[in-house]
Amino acid sequence: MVFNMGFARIEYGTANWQVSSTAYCQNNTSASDYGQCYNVWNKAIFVQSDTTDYPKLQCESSNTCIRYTSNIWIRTLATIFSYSNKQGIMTYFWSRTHSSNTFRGNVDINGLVPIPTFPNNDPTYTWFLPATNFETSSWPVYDPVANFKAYENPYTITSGYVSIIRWSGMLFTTALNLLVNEGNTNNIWYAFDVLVSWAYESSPLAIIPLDYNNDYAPYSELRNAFGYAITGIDQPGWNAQDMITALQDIFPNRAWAVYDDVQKILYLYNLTMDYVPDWLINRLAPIGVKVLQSPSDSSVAQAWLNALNARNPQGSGP
Amino acid sequence: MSQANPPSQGQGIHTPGPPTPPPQGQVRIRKNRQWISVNPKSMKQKGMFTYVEFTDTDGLDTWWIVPPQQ
Repeated sequence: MVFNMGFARIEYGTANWQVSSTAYCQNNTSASDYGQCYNVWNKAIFVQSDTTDYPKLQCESSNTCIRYTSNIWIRTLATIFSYSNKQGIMTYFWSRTHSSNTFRGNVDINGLVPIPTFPNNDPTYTWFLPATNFETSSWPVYDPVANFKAYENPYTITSGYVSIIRWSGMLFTTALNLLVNEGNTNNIWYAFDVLVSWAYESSPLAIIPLDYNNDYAPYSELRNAFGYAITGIDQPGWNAQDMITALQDIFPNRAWAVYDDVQKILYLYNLTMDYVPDWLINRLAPIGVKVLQSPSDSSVAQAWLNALNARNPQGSGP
Repeated sequence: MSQANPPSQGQGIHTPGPPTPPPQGQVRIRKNRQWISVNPKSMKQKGMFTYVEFTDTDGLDTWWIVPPQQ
């Protein structure tokens, strides 16, 4: 096989497996329920920089939002993959947002629609999107040249706007981040879900869900051995043994796996076969599975499985 | 006159017939391009495949995919 396909489902407040038309937050400061979020899946995002008048929002208390206290133009929400010296090719994304602000005059300024693109790119003027002068009066927009579609309010929600965009094509990049243009605006909220797919060179894989900022980026050994992906699976390296060595050095007390795509063998560390999910077996179809080390504490193995399942939801949600 | 495609004289890759049934209590697997019989510690269905557990020559606890047993 020449290429593998990576695909991620990223959910902040809405989920693609259901049309949650009642998912919204309250940003009317006069309302008694100001700062509350309703019917969200995981957490929505609320931006309120005033920590004097609003030290804690209701949605923070109810664990229904992530609050940012900075007002900025472009926010990086997640690293989808970072492949060091390898290259990925984004082929598709679909992004849906419920938000307090809708498209303004064009596709994405203040649309609060998260877009997967390369780091530091301005999603407002991303070159692979069409020209930014589509008027909202002409929604939905379809530009066949850019293989791009955008819809405003294809359905109505309890409060706020719905924005959906879809793109397909090829974007070659060594790193893909999820960026959103907040327009340097305060007192806004948005809840979204994104589907994104990409291709990458078929390679041995490091299978370990990592936090990009804390677990991966600080370690040159890991970056030299394999790339990062938000799925915890699509993490290609060059040499399976180098990957095992680096992981043993950095994470001796965590559970992880390495898939050798040449020998077709899946190596398990602090794991047993019982913790390997069926969907991963179906995807990799390993000829052999070898246990480098059994877990002394089953909670370590269970944490690996839980994180992997959370990042790669199968089927239509819980 | 020589034939463009003479009958095979048996040269080339040797393709043995189907493996003989494994000895009692053992499972045959295809490993390193040959059939071997292993003493299973256990068997497990994972996803679409069946795996047999045994201790490999490297000393590691190993699960190997089991082809349909003849």
